[in-house]
Amino acid sequence: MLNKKAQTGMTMNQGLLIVRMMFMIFVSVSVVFLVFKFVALSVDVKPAEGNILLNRLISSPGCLAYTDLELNRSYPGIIDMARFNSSHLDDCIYFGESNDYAAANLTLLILGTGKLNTTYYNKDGYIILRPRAGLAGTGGVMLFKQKRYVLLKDGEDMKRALLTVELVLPGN
Amino acid sequence: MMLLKRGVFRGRRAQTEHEAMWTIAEMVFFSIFLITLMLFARSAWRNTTFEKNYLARDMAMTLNTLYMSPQRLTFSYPYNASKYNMLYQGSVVRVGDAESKNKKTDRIYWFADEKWRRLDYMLSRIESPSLILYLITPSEKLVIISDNNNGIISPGGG
Repeated sequence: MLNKKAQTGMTMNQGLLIVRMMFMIFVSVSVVFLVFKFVALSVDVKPAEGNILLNRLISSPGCLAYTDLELNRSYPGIIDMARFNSSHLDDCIYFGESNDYAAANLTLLILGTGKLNTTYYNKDGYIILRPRAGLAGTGGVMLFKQKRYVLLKDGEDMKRALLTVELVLPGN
Repeated sequence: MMLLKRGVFRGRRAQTEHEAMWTIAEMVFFSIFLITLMLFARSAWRNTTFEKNYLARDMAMTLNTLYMSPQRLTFSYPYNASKYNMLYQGSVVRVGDAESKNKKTDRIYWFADEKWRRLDYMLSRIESPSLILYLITPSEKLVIISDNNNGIISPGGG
């Protein structure tokens, strides 16, 4: 049988062991947490992808860029007014029949006249996605906005214009 | 002490035995923890999910960029992807392990075709050390060519 002093000492020892065990568990959990935090299984490419699609809308010969069919040469920076419509844009960046991947609103301000032309790439998708721009989480949408001075080829005329593109990509 | 009286550790020797048991329990716990951590590190080292995700995304963005080309274009892909199968299905790049037939571990990413000018060649395997060449031909079909030792294996359609 232990005396009172020994009993007290033992109780203190036990208390310390419990604290020590708790500290050990805390350290272990912290190590696991840190390890998992630095394990990357994917890479976020949305910003790069948004810029690529935005530039593709403007500069691709299949999209808005004016193409001289006789020379088979396209001119990035010159917008062909005949192509500035939704059906052409939907065909030039084609994610399939159901596009829930990207959408855009394009506004063309013709300088000097103040005339505005607006068209959409994937209009239905844009109407759904645009209000969610900037929201955090998986339901959020990433918005890319770019203004660019362009030349506008409207028939035989060449005009100066300011093109504003708002592209939305779902997912943050 | 009531707790000790009820337990297996009784008497003066019990105190030492009790502490020894705690130390042994700690050592066992740490051993299990370390072994688990090592096993995880080993599986992470063998895991190719990140590479497949990276490759699928990079391929998709590369294709998106290539569609922007104003003229005929030749592009050589500088990444050695011999460990992976790549497949273009619709608007999706699918990347899987070459040695595995388990499709569940494949990774996909989306790219946009042009509706009237689409990929007409499917690439199944890239041999090491290989390059992939993309050509936009005058007939306006995008052709992917696998190039092995600078010799064209298959020019596909177009």
